[in-house]
Amino acid sequence: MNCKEIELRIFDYLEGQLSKQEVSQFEGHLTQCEACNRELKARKKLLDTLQVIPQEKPLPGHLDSFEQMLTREKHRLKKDDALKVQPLYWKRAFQIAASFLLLLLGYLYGEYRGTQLAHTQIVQLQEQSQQLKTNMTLAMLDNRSASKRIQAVNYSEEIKMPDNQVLEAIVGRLQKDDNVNVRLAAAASLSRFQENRLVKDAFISALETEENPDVQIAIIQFLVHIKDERSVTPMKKLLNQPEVPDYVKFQVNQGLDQIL
Amino acid sequence: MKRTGMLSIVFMLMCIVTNAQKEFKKSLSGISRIEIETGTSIFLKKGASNEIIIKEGCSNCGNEEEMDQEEFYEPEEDEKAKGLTAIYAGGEDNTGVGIYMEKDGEILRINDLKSFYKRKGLTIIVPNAVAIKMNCGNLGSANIQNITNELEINTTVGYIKLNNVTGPVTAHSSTGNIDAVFTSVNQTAPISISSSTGMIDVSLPSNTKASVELKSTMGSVYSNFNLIEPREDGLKAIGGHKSITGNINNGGVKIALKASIGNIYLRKK
Repeated sequence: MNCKEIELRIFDYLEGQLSKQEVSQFEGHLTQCEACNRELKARKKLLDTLQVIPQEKPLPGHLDSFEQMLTREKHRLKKDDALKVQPLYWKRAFQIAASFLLLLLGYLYGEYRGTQLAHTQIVQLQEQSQQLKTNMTLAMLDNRSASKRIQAVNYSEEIKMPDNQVLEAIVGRLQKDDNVNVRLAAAASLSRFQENRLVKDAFISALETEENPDVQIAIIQFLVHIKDERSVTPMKKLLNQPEVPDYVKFQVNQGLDQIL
Repeated sequence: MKRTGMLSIVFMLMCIVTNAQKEFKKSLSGISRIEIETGTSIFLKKGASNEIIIKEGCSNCGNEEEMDQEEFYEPEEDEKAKGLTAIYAGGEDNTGVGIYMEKDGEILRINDLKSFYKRKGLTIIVPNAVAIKMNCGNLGSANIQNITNELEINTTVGYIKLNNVTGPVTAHSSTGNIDAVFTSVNQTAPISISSSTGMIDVSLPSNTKASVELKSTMGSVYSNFNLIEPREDGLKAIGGHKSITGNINNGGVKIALKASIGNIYLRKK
Protein backbone atom coordinates (compact mmCIF):
# COMPACT_ATOMS: atom_id res chain seq x y z
CA MET A 1 0.00 0.00 0.00
CA ASN A 2 1.21 3.46 -0.77
CA CYS A 3 0.43 6.67 1.08
CA LYS A 4 -2.54 7.58 -1.16
CA GLU A 5 -4.29 4.22 -0.53
CA ILE A 6 -3.61 4.54 3.22
CA GLU A 7 -5.23 8.01 3.24
CA LEU A 8 -8.41 6.65 1.55
CA ARG A 9 -8.69 3.78 4.02
CA ILE A 10 -7.93 5.61 7.27
CA PHE A 11 -11.57 5.96 8.39
CA ASP A 12 -12.36 2.34 7.36
CA TYR A 13 -9.40 1.16 9.42
CA LEU A 14 -10.37 3.21 12.47
CA GLU A 15 -13.91 1.91 12.31
CA GLY A 16 -12.70 -1.73 11.80
CA GLN A 17 -14.14 -2.12 8.29
CA LEU A 18 -11.07 -3.54 6.60
CA SER A 19 -10.35 -7.24 5.93
CA LYS A 20 -7.52 -8.98 7.86
CA GLN A 21 -5.29 -8.94 4.83
CA GLU A 22 -5.91 -5.21 4.27
CA VAL A 23 -5.25 -4.55 7.98
CA SER A 24 -1.88 -6.31 7.86
CA GLN A 25 -0.96 -4.41 4.67
CA PHE A 26 -2.15 -1.17 6.28
CA GLU A 27 -0.20 -1.68 9.48
CA GLY A 28 2.84 -2.82 7.48
CA HIS A 29 2.96 0.54 5.70
CA LEU A 30 2.40 2.48 8.91
CA THR A 31 5.59 1.04 10.45
CA GLN A 32 7.53 2.34 7.52
CA CYS A 33 5.84 5.77 6.94
CA GLU A 34 6.07 8.47 9.56
CA ALA A 35 3.71 10.88 7.64
CA CYS A 36 0.87 8.36 7.49
CA ASN A 37 1.28 7.67 11.21
CA ARG A 38 0.79 11.40 11.95
CA GLU A 39 -2.25 11.49 9.67
CA LEU A 40 -3.76 8.43 11.40
CA LYS A 41 -3.33 10.03 14.83
CA ALA A 42 -5.03 13.28 13.66
CA ARG A 43 -8.01 11.39 12.20
CA LYS A 44 -8.35 9.26 15.35
CA LYS A 45 -8.46 12.42 17.42
CA LEU A 46 -11.19 13.87 15.17
CA LEU A 47 -13.31 10.73 15.50
CA ASP A 48 -12.90 10.70 19.27
CA THR A 49 -13.97 14.35 19.47
CA LEU A 50 -17.07 13.68 17.36
CA GLN A 51 -18.05 10.89 19.67
CA VAL A 52 -17.78 13.20 22.69
CA ILE A 53 -20.52 15.60 21.31
CA PRO A 54 -23.90 14.41 22.63
CA GLN A 55 -26.49 13.44 19.98
CA GLU A 56 -29.54 15.72 19.72
CA LYS A 57 -32.86 13.91 20.02
CA PRO A 58 -36.19 15.32 18.74
CA LEU A 59 -38.85 16.06 21.38
CA PRO A 60 -41.67 13.49 21.48
CA GLY A 61 -44.24 16.04 20.16
CA HIS A 62 -42.18 16.74 17.05
CA LEU A 63 -42.67 13.33 15.66
CA ASP A 64 -46.48 13.58 16.00
CA SER A 65 -46.68 16.97 14.41
CA PHE A 66 -44.39 15.79 11.64
CA GLU A 67 -46.67 12.84 10.92
CA GLN A 68 -49.70 15.13 10.95
CA MET A 69 -48.00 17.56 8.63
CA LEU A 70 -47.12 14.75 6.28
CA THR A 71 -50.72 13.49 6.03
CA ARG A 72 -52.00 17.04 5.59
CA GLU A 73 -49.57 17.64 2.81
CA LYS A 74 -50.43 14.34 1.14
CA HIS A 75 -54.12 15.20 1.36
CA ARG A 76 -53.57 18.58 -0.18
CA LEU A 77 -51.47 17.19 -2.98
CA LYS A 78 -54.28 14.79 -3.81
CA LYS A 79 -56.75 17.69 -3.94
CA ASP A 80 -54.43 19.82 -6.09
CA ASP A 81 -54.05 16.95 -8.49
CA ALA A 82 -57.72 17.26 -9.45
CA LEU A 83 -57.40 20.98 -10.11
CA LYS A 84 -54.15 20.68 -11.92
CA VAL A 85 -55.51 21.51 -15.44
CA GLN A 86 -57.71 24.39 -14.29
CA PRO A 87 -55.04 26.78 -12.96
CA LEU A 88 -52.92 26.20 -16.00
CA TYR A 89 -55.86 27.11 -18.25
CA TRP A 90 -56.62 30.30 -16.34
CA LYS A 91 -53.02 31.28 -16.34
CA ARG A 92 -52.74 30.93 -20.09
CA ALA A 93 -55.99 32.82 -20.62
CA PHE A 94 -54.68 35.60 -18.44
CA GLN A 95 -51.44 35.68 -20.37
CA ILE A 96 -53.30 35.96 -23.65
CA ALA A 97 -55.61 38.62 -22.24
CA ALA A 98 -52.63 40.53 -20.91
CA SER A 99 -50.88 40.43 -24.26
CA PHE A 100 -54.03 41.60 -25.99
CA LEU A 101 -54.37 44.39 -23.47
CA LEU A 102 -50.80 45.39 -24.04
CA LEU A 103 -51.35 45.39 -27.77
CA LEU A 104 -54.51 47.44 -27.41
CA LEU A 105 -52.81 49.93 -25.11
CA GLY A 106 -49.96 50.22 -27.53
CA TYR A 107 -52.38 50.81 -30.38
CA LEU A 108 -54.38 53.37 -28.43
CA TYR A 109 -51.25 55.19 -27.37
CA GLY A 110 -49.98 55.20 -30.90
CA GLU A 111 -53.32 56.40 -32.15
CA TYR A 112 -53.40 59.17 -29.54
CA ARG A 113 -49.90 60.26 -30.36
CA GLY A 114 -50.73 60.05 -34.03
CA THR A 115 -53.88 62.17 -33.81
CA GLN A 116 -52.11 64.67 -31.61
CA LEU A 117 -49.35 64.92 -34.15
CA ALA A 118 -51.85 65.09 -36.98
CA HIS A 119 -53.76 67.78 -35.12
CA THR A 120 -50.72 69.97 -34.68
CA GLN A 121 -49.81 69.29 -38.28
CA ILE A 122 -53.30 70.31 -39.42
CA VAL A 123 -53.07 73.52 -37.41
CA GLN A 124 -49.67 74.23 -38.93
CA LEU A 125 -50.96 73.44 -42.40
CA GLN A 126 -53.95 75.70 -41.89
CA GLU A 127 -51.66 78.52 -40.84
CA GLN A 128 -49.42 77.80 -43.81
CA SER A 129 -52.35 77.76 -46.22
CA GLN A 130 -53.62 81.06 -44.84
CA GLN A 131 -50.15 82.52 -45.30
CA LEU A 132 -49.98 81.00 -48.76
CA LYS A 133 -53.33 82.49 -49.71
CA THR A 134 -52.18 85.88 -48.44
CA ASN A 135 -49.02 85.62 -50.51
CA MET A 136 -50.89 84.42 -53.58
CA THR A 137 -53.46 87.17 -53.24
CA LEU A 138 -50.76 89.82 -53.03
CA ALA A 139 -48.70 88.30 -55.83
CA MET A 140 -51.58 87.76 -58.24
CA LEU A 141 -53.44 91.03 -57.67
CA ASP A 142 -51.10 92.80 -60.08
CA ASN A 143 -51.26 90.08 -62.75
CA ARG A 144 -51.96 91.40 -66.21
CA SER A 145 -54.63 88.74 -66.69
CA ALA A 146 -58.01 89.94 -65.40
CA SER A 147 -59.06 86.37 -64.68
CA LYS A 148 -55.99 85.88 -62.45
CA ARG A 149 -56.73 89.13 -60.61
CA ILE A 150 -60.26 87.89 -59.96
CA GLN A 151 -58.80 84.60 -58.78
CA ALA A 152 -56.55 86.53 -56.37
CA VAL A 153 -59.57 88.40 -55.01
CA ASN A 154 -61.37 85.06 -54.61
CA TYR A 155 -58.37 83.66 -52.70
CA SER A 156 -58.56 86.59 -50.32
CA GLU A 157 -62.11 85.52 -49.42
CA GLU A 158 -60.62 82.37 -47.93
CA ILE A 159 -58.30 84.33 -45.64
CA LYS A 160 -60.06 84.52 -42.28
CA MET A 161 -58.32 87.61 -40.95
CA PRO A 162 -56.57 89.41 -43.78
CA ASP A 163 -54.07 92.00 -42.63
CA ASN A 164 -54.18 95.63 -43.76
CA GLN A 165 -51.68 94.94 -46.52
CA VAL A 166 -54.12 92.53 -48.16
CA LEU A 167 -57.12 94.79 -47.56
CA GLU A 168 -55.33 97.79 -49.04
CA ALA A 169 -54.31 95.75 -52.08
CA ILE A 170 -57.94 94.75 -52.69
CA VAL A 171 -59.11 98.31 -52.09
CA GLY A 172 -56.60 99.29 -54.77
CA ARG A 173 -58.33 96.88 -57.17
CA LEU A 174 -61.77 98.26 -56.27
CA GLN A 175 -60.69 101.83 -56.95
CA LYS A 176 -58.19 101.53 -59.77
CA ASP A 177 -58.58 98.28 -61.74
CA ASP A 178 -59.50 98.92 -65.37
CA ASN A 179 -61.63 95.79 -65.57
CA VAL A 180 -65.22 96.00 -64.34
CA ASN A 181 -65.36 92.35 -63.31
CA VAL A 182 -62.27 92.72 -61.13
CA ARG A 183 -63.78 95.78 -59.44
CA LEU A 184 -67.02 93.85 -58.87
CA ALA A 185 -65.14 90.91 -57.37
CA ALA A 186 -63.15 93.27 -55.13
CA ALA A 187 -66.37 94.92 -53.94
CA ALA A 188 -67.91 91.52 -53.15
CA SER A 189 -64.79 90.40 -51.28
CA LEU A 190 -64.54 93.60 -49.23
CA SER A 191 -68.25 93.45 -48.35
CA ARG A 192 -67.39 90.96 -45.60
CA PHE A 193 -65.68 93.63 -43.53
CA GLN A 194 -68.61 95.76 -42.50
CA GLU A 195 -66.93 96.96 -39.31
CA ASN A 196 -63.56 97.81 -40.85
CA ARG A 197 -62.89 101.55 -41.05
CA LEU A 198 -60.42 101.16 -43.91
CA VAL A 199 -62.99 99.26 -45.98
CA LYS A 200 -65.82 101.70 -45.22
CA ASP A 201 -63.67 104.68 -46.23
CA ALA A 202 -62.62 102.85 -49.39
CA PHE A 203 -66.23 102.28 -50.45
CA ILE A 204 -67.17 105.90 -49.80
CA SER A 205 -64.28 107.26 -51.86
CA ALA A 206 -64.91 104.64 -54.58
CA LEU A 207 -68.50 105.84 -54.91
CA GLU A 208 -67.22 109.29 -55.91
CA THR A 209 -64.91 108.00 -58.62
CA GLU A 210 -66.69 104.91 -59.95
CA GLU A 211 -68.42 105.34 -63.30
CA ASN A 212 -69.63 101.83 -64.09
CA PRO A 213 -73.27 101.34 -63.02
CA ASP A 214 -72.73 97.72 -61.88
CA VAL A 215 -69.93 98.64 -59.53
CA GLN A 216 -71.85 101.73 -58.40
CA ILE A 217 -74.76 99.48 -57.41
CA ALA A 218 -72.46 97.08 -55.53
CA ILE A 219 -70.96 100.02 -53.62
CA ILE A 220 -74.37 101.54 -52.87
CA GLN A 221 -75.68 98.21 -51.58
CA PHE A 222 -72.74 97.87 -49.19
CA LEU A 223 -73.03 101.43 -47.89
CA VAL A 224 -76.79 101.06 -47.43
CA HIS A 225 -76.29 97.79 -45.58
CA ILE A 226 -73.84 99.30 -43.07
CA LYS A 227 -76.00 102.45 -42.87
CA ASP A 228 -73.01 104.76 -43.02
CA GLU A 229 -74.33 108.33 -42.95
CA ARG A 230 -71.16 109.69 -44.52
CA SER A 231 -72.30 108.07 -47.78
CA VAL A 232 -75.40 110.30 -48.03
CA THR A 233 -73.56 113.23 -49.65
CA PRO A 234 -71.82 111.26 -52.43
CA MET A 235 -75.05 109.32 -53.08
CA LYS A 236 -77.05 112.51 -53.44
CA LYS A 237 -74.37 113.76 -55.81
CA LEU A 238 -75.03 110.76 -58.07
CA LEU A 239 -78.69 111.76 -58.31
CA ASN A 240 -77.69 115.06 -59.90
CA GLN A 241 -75.42 113.55 -62.55
CA PRO A 242 -77.17 113.21 -65.91
CA GLU A 243 -74.92 110.36 -67.13
CA VAL A 244 -75.84 108.12 -64.21
CA PRO A 245 -78.47 105.61 -65.43
CA ASP A 246 -81.96 105.70 -63.94
CA TYR A 247 -81.69 102.25 -62.37
CA VAL A 248 -78.66 103.36 -60.39
CA LYS A 249 -80.59 106.43 -59.21
CA PHE A 250 -83.41 104.09 -58.26
CA GLN A 251 -80.98 102.13 -56.06
CA VAL A 252 -79.70 105.39 -54.57
CA ASN A 253 -83.22 106.55 -53.69
CA GLN A 254 -84.08 103.19 -52.14
CA GLY A 255 -80.81 103.24 -50.20
CA LEU A 256 -81.26 106.80 -48.96
CA ASP A 257 -84.68 105.83 -47.59
CA GLN A 258 -83.04 103.05 -45.59
CA ILE A 259 -80.15 105.13 -44.24
CA LEU A 260 -82.14 108.20 -43.26
CA MET B 1 -57.34 80.85 -126.09
CA LYS B 2 -53.93 82.27 -125.30
CA ARG B 3 -55.37 85.70 -124.62
CA THR B 4 -58.08 84.38 -122.33
CA GLY B 5 -55.46 82.46 -120.33
CA MET B 6 -53.33 85.58 -119.95
CA LEU B 7 -56.34 87.64 -118.94
CA SER B 8 -57.39 85.16 -116.30
CA ILE B 9 -53.88 85.10 -114.84
CA VAL B 10 -53.80 88.89 -114.72
CA PHE B 11 -57.23 88.90 -113.10
CA MET B 12 -56.10 86.39 -110.46
CA LEU B 13 -53.00 88.43 -109.72
CA MET B 14 -55.12 91.55 -109.30
CA CYS B 15 -57.36 89.69 -106.88
CA ILE B 16 -54.35 88.68 -104.80
CA VAL B 17 -52.99 92.23 -104.84
CA THR B 18 -56.30 93.82 -103.77
CA ASN B 19 -56.69 91.17 -101.08
CA ALA B 20 -53.19 91.83 -99.88
CA GLN B 21 -54.01 95.49 -99.53
CA LYS B 22 -56.89 94.67 -97.21
CA GLU B 23 -55.01 92.09 -95.22
CA PHE B 24 -52.24 92.49 -92.68
CA LYS B 25 -50.10 89.64 -91.39
CA LYS B 26 -47.52 89.53 -88.66
CA SER B 27 -45.62 86.67 -87.08
CA LEU B 28 -46.32 86.21 -83.37
CA SER B 29 -43.13 84.54 -82.26
CA GLY B 30 -42.37 85.58 -78.68
CA ILE B 31 -45.85 87.01 -78.17
CA SER B 32 -48.11 85.53 -75.49
CA ARG B 33 -50.75 88.20 -75.25
CA ILE B 34 -52.53 90.55 -77.65
CA GLU B 35 -54.32 93.65 -76.47
CA ILE B 36 -56.75 95.14 -78.97
CA GLU B 37 -58.30 98.59 -78.70
CA THR B 38 -60.85 99.40 -81.34
CA GLY B 39 -64.12 101.19 -81.93
CA THR B 40 -65.47 98.75 -84.44
CA SER B 41 -66.93 95.28 -84.35
CA ILE B 42 -64.49 92.41 -84.31
CA PHE B 43 -64.82 88.86 -85.50
CA LEU B 44 -62.04 86.92 -83.80
CA LYS B 45 -61.31 83.32 -84.68
CA LYS B 46 -58.62 80.71 -84.37
CA GLY B 47 -56.09 80.28 -87.14
CA ALA B 48 -53.64 77.49 -87.84
CA SER B 49 -50.43 79.46 -88.36
CA ASN B 50 -48.43 81.30 -85.71
CA GLU B 51 -49.28 84.73 -87.07
CA ILE B 52 -51.95 87.34 -86.67
CA ILE B 53 -54.05 88.11 -89.73
CA ILE B 54 -56.16 91.25 -89.79
CA LYS B 55 -58.76 91.65 -92.54
CA GLU B 56 -61.04 94.55 -93.31
CA GLY B 57 -64.72 93.93 -92.69
CA CYS B 58 -66.47 91.13 -90.97
CA SER B 59 -69.29 89.15 -92.43
CA ASN B 60 -71.05 88.05 -89.30
CA CYS B 61 -70.69 90.79 -86.78
CA GLY B 62 -72.10 94.18 -86.02
CA ASN B 63 -75.41 95.74 -86.79
CA GLU B 64 -76.27 94.87 -90.38
CA GLU B 65 -78.30 98.04 -91.04
CA GLU B 66 -75.50 100.33 -89.97
CA MET B 67 -72.98 98.26 -91.89
CA ASP B 68 -74.85 98.76 -95.13
CA GLN B 69 -74.73 102.52 -95.03
CA GLU B 70 -72.03 102.73 -97.66
CA GLU B 71 -71.85 106.50 -97.71
CA PHE B 72 -69.94 106.49 -94.43
CA TYR B 73 -67.07 104.61 -95.96
CA GLU B 74 -64.06 106.05 -97.58
CA PRO B 75 -63.80 105.15 -101.27
CA GLU B 76 -61.03 102.68 -102.08
CA GLU B 77 -59.06 105.37 -103.83
CA ASP B 78 -59.51 108.93 -102.69
CA GLU B 79 -58.43 111.23 -105.50
CA LYS B 80 -58.05 114.16 -103.16
CA ALA B 81 -55.74 112.23 -100.84
CA LYS B 82 -53.17 111.62 -103.54
CA GLY B 83 -49.73 112.58 -102.30
CA LEU B 84 -50.98 112.81 -98.73
CA THR B 85 -50.90 110.23 -95.97
CA ALA B 86 -53.65 109.60 -93.50
CA ILE B 87 -52.74 110.77 -90.03
CA TYR B 88 -54.62 109.84 -86.93
CA ALA B 89 -55.06 111.35 -83.50
CA GLY B 90 -54.60 107.96 -81.88
CA GLY B 91 -51.07 107.43 -83.16
CA GLU B 92 -49.00 106.53 -86.19
CA ASP B 93 -50.30 104.10 -88.79
CA ASN B 94 -47.40 101.66 -88.87
CA THR B 95 -49.29 98.81 -90.52
CA GLY B 96 -50.79 100.52 -93.58
CA VAL B 97 -54.30 99.46 -92.56
CA GLY B 98 -55.06 102.28 -90.14
CA ILE B 99 -53.77 100.35 -87.13
CA TYR B 100 -50.95 101.20 -84.76
CA MET B 101 -49.12 98.12 -83.60
CA GLU B 102 -46.61 98.03 -80.79
CA LYS B 103 -44.66 95.17 -79.27
CA ASP B 104 -44.02 95.45 -75.55
CA GLY B 105 -42.15 92.40 -74.35
CA GLU B 106 -44.50 89.49 -74.76
CA ILE B 107 -47.47 91.76 -75.37
CA LEU B 108 -48.61 92.95 -78.78
CA ARG B 109 -50.76 96.08 -78.58
CA ILE B 110 -53.09 96.80 -81.48
CA ASN B 111 -54.68 100.22 -81.64
CA ASP B 112 -57.33 100.74 -84.29
CA LEU B 113 -56.91 104.33 -85.45
CA LYS B 114 -59.98 104.57 -87.64
CA SER B 115 -63.30 105.62 -86.23
CA PHE B 116 -66.34 103.38 -86.00
CA TYR B 117 -67.80 105.09 -89.05
CA LYS B 118 -64.76 104.49 -91.23
CA ARG B 119 -64.57 100.79 -90.46
CA LYS B 120 -66.75 97.98 -91.71
CA GLY B 121 -65.51 95.91 -88.87
CA LEU B 122 -62.41 93.76 -88.67
CA THR B 123 -61.79 90.04 -88.90
CA ILE B 124 -58.82 88.97 -86.82
CA ILE B 125 -57.33 85.51 -86.97
CA VAL B 126 -54.95 84.53 -84.18
CA PRO B 127 -53.20 81.32 -83.14
CA ASN B 128 -54.47 79.63 -80.02
CA ALA B 129 -51.26 80.22 -78.08
CA VAL B 130 -51.98 83.87 -77.28
CA ALA B 131 -54.24 85.34 -74.63
CA ILE B 132 -56.54 88.09 -75.88
CA LYS B 133 -57.61 91.33 -74.28
CA MET B 134 -60.06 93.26 -76.40
CA ASN B 135 -61.91 96.51 -75.92
CA CYS B 136 -64.50 97.28 -78.57
CA GLY B 137 -65.07 100.90 -77.64
CA ASN B 138 -68.48 102.49 -77.53
CA LEU B 139 -70.33 100.84 -80.40
CA GLY B 140 -68.30 97.84 -81.45
CA SER B 141 -69.37 94.31 -80.67
CA ALA B 142 -67.32 91.16 -80.32
CA ASN B 143 -67.88 87.80 -81.96
CA ILE B 144 -65.35 85.19 -80.93
CA GLN B 145 -65.07 81.64 -82.13
CA ASN B 146 -63.05 78.56 -81.18
CA ILE B 147 -60.55 80.38 -78.99
CA THR B 148 -59.49 78.20 -76.09
CA ASN B 149 -57.02 80.62 -74.53
CA GLU B 150 -57.76 83.35 -72.04
CA LEU B 151 -60.18 86.08 -73.16
CA GLU B 152 -60.82 89.47 -71.65
CA ILE B 153 -63.53 91.30 -73.58
CA ASN B 154 -65.12 94.68 -72.97
CA THR B 155 -67.85 96.38 -74.94
CA THR B 156 -70.18 99.25 -74.14
CA VAL B 157 -73.21 99.02 -76.39
CA GLY B 158 -72.19 96.15 -78.60
CA TYR B 159 -72.95 92.54 -77.84
CA ILE B 160 -70.44 89.85 -76.95
CA LYS B 161 -70.79 86.42 -78.54
CA LEU B 162 -68.45 83.67 -77.50
CA ASN B 163 -68.79 80.42 -79.36
CA ASN B 164 -66.86 77.23 -78.55
CA VAL B 165 -64.63 78.76 -75.92
CA THR B 166 -63.18 77.21 -72.76
CA GLY B 167 -62.17 80.15 -70.62
CA PRO B 168 -60.74 81.69 -68.60
CA VAL B 169 -63.15 84.41 -69.70
CA THR B 170 -63.64 87.89 -68.28
CA ALA B 171 -66.35 89.69 -70.21
CA HIS B 172 -68.24 92.88 -69.55
CA SER B 173 -70.74 94.85 -71.56
CA SER B 174 -72.57 97.90 -70.30
CA THR B 175 -75.74 97.50 -72.33
CA GLY B 176 -75.01 94.67 -74.72
CA ASN B 177 -76.14 91.09 -74.36
CA ILE B 178 -73.54 88.46 -73.67
CA ASP B 179 -73.90 84.94 -75.07
CA ALA B 180 -71.30 82.33 -74.29
CA VAL B 181 -71.17 78.68 -75.33
CA PHE B 182 -68.44 76.69 -73.63
CA THR B 183 -67.14 73.42 -75.04
CA SER B 184 -65.41 72.69 -71.75
CA VAL B 185 -64.37 74.78 -68.79
CA ASN B 186 -60.71 75.50 -68.02
CA GLN B 187 -60.27 74.95 -64.28
CA THR B 188 -57.15 77.09 -63.82
CA ALA B 189 -58.72 80.53 -63.48
CA PRO B 190 -62.23 81.87 -62.89
CA ILE B 191 -64.85 82.94 -65.42
CA SER B 192 -66.57 86.29 -64.81
CA ILE B 193 -69.25 87.70 -67.05
CA SER B 194 -71.16 90.87 -66.26
CA SER B 195 -73.54 93.19 -68.04
CA SER B 196 -75.33 96.19 -66.62
CA THR B 197 -78.51 96.18 -68.65
CA GLY B 198 -77.90 93.36 -71.11
CA MET B 199 -78.84 89.72 -70.71
CA ILE B 200 -76.32 87.03 -69.98
CA ASP B 201 -76.84 83.63 -71.57
CA VAL B 202 -74.27 80.96 -70.80
CA SER B 203 -74.24 77.32 -71.90
CA LEU B 204 -71.99 74.81 -70.19
CA PRO B 205 -71.44 71.10 -70.84
CA SER B 206 -73.56 69.20 -68.31
CA ASN B 207 -70.50 67.56 -66.74
CA THR B 208 -68.79 70.89 -65.97
CA LYS B 209 -67.31 71.16 -62.51
CA ALA B 210 -67.88 74.65 -61.20
CA SER B 211 -68.81 76.81 -58.25
CA VAL B 212 -71.39 79.13 -59.64
CA GLU B 213 -72.42 82.56 -58.46
CA LEU B 214 -75.42 84.07 -60.23
CA LYS B 215 -76.59 87.52 -59.36
CA SER B 216 -78.99 89.87 -61.06
CA THR B 217 -79.77 92.90 -58.94
CA MET B 218 -83.06 93.70 -60.63
CA GLY B 219 -83.49 90.86 -63.12
CA SER B 220 -84.26 87.15 -62.88
CA VAL B 221 -82.02 84.14 -62.93
CA TYR B 222 -82.90 80.96 -64.83
CA SER B 223 -81.06 77.66 -64.92
CA ASN B 224 -81.61 73.98 -65.54
CA PHE B 225 -78.53 73.05 -63.55
CA ASN B 226 -79.09 71.52 -60.17
CA LEU B 227 -77.56 74.16 -57.94
CA ILE B 228 -76.99 72.48 -54.61
CA GLU B 229 -76.51 74.85 -51.75
CA PRO B 230 -73.01 74.18 -50.36
CA ARG B 231 -74.10 75.39 -46.94
CA GLU B 232 -76.89 77.30 -45.38
CA ASP B 233 -75.43 79.62 -42.79
CA GLY B 234 -77.20 82.43 -44.63
CA LEU B 235 -74.69 84.91 -43.28
CA LYS B 236 -73.16 86.05 -46.52
CA ALA B 237 -72.82 89.78 -46.44
CA ILE B 238 -74.71 92.36 -48.40
CA GLY B 239 -75.29 92.25 -52.06
CA GLY B 240 -75.06 88.57 -51.44
CA HIS B 241 -78.63 88.45 -50.29
CA LYS B 242 -79.75 88.44 -53.88
CA SER B 243 -77.07 86.18 -55.29
CA ILE B 244 -77.45 82.49 -55.92
CA THR B 245 -74.42 80.38 -55.21
CA GLY B 246 -74.09 76.69 -55.78
CA ASN B 247 -71.84 73.89 -56.89
CA ILE B 248 -72.42 71.91 -60.04
CA ASN B 249 -70.83 68.47 -60.20
CA ASN B 250 -69.35 68.95 -56.71
CA GLY B 251 -67.81 72.31 -57.46
CA GLY B 252 -64.77 73.49 -59.35
CA VAL B 253 -63.56 76.71 -60.86
CA LYS B 254 -65.58 79.78 -59.98
CA ILE B 255 -68.04 81.07 -62.55
CA ALA B 256 -69.60 84.43 -61.69
CA LEU B 257 -72.43 85.83 -63.80
CA LYS B 258 -73.59 89.25 -62.70
CA ALA B 259 -76.20 91.54 -64.16
CA SER B 260 -77.90 94.66 -62.87
CA ILE B 261 -81.11 94.73 -64.86
CA GLY B 262 -80.84 91.98 -67.43
CA ASN B 263 -81.80 88.37 -66.83
CA ILE B 264 -79.29 85.60 -66.47
CA TYR B 265 -79.68 82.24 -68.21
CA LEU B 266 -77.42 79.34 -67.33
CA ARG B 267 -78.05 76.30 -69.53
CA LYS B 268 -76.90 72.75 -69.80
CA LYS B 269 -75.54 72.10 -73.27
